[in-house]
Amino acid sequence: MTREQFITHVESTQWELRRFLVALCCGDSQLADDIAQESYLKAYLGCEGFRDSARFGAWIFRIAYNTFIDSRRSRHLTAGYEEASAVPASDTADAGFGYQHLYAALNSLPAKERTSMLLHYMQGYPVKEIAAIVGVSEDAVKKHLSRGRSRLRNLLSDNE
Amino acid sequence: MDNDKYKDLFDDFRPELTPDFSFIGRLEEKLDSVEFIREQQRNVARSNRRALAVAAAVGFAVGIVFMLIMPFISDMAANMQTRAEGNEVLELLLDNYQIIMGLVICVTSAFTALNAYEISLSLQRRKG
Repeated sequence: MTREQFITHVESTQWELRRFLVALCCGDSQLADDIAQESYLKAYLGCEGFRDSARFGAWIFRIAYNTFIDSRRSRHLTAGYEEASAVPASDTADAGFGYQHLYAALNSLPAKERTSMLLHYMQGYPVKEIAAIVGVSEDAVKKHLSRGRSRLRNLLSDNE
Repeated sequence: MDNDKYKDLFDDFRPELTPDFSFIGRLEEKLDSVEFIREQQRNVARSNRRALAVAAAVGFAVGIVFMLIMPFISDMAANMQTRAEGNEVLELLLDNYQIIMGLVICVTSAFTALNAYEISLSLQRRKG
C-alpha cells in the first residue's frame, strides 16, 4: 500500500474511528485522538503486507481497540458513574456535556462489553466481525451485548 | 429498550471532534518522521552491506596472497630443517609449521577483514 492509498483510507475512516474512540474513552476526546493517531501510525508501519483494502476499516478498529487496551494499562480511567453524574451540566458548556449520562453509563461497562456495544450499535458490525476485532469468540460477544444492553438499559432509564 | 433504540442512541451521538484537516495534518507529520527513519535504516543497511563486501574481498585477497607464498614458505621450512638439528624449539616449530601457518593465515585474514569492514564503514559515514 502506498502512502497516498493509506491517506485515502485514513480520510474515509477517521471520523467514524474517532467517534467510536470518544465513546470508548467515555468523552475524553484528547485521549481518543491520541489513540487514533497511534493506531494509524501502527497501521502505517504494518501496511506494506496489507492487501485487502475492503477490510481496512475492521483492521484499523482492531488496532484501535488493542491500542486503547494498552493505554488503559498505563493510565487509569477511574471516573465512576456517581462521580460523572455529580458534575453539573451547563447550557453554555461544551456540547460534550450533553452526552455526560451516556459517557457515565458507558464507563460503567467493562471495556470488552463497551467495545462490543459500540461496534455493534454504533458501527453496525456483525457479531462475527466484532469477535475478530476484540479477539474473543462469537458466543462471548453475544454475552457482552446481552450484558451491555441490560446494564445500559438500567442506567439510562434511571436518568430519564 | 429494544435494539432500534440502542441504535438510535448511538446514531444521535455526534461528539465535537478536532477538525479533520488538523487531525490528518498531525498524522502526516508523524508519517514524515516514519519515512525519515526508514530512509536512515535503509542507508545504514546499504553501508553495512558494502562494508561486508569490502571485508569479504580483503579477506579473500589475504587468503590468495598466503596461498601464493605458501610454496616458498614450505621450501624455506624444508631448508631450515637440516640446519635446525639439535635445536629442539626450532625443530618443534618446523615440524608443525603448517599448523602455525594455518593459524597465522586465519588470524591475519580475520584481522584484516575486520579492519577493512571498520575502515569502509568509517569512510562511508564521512561521505554521507
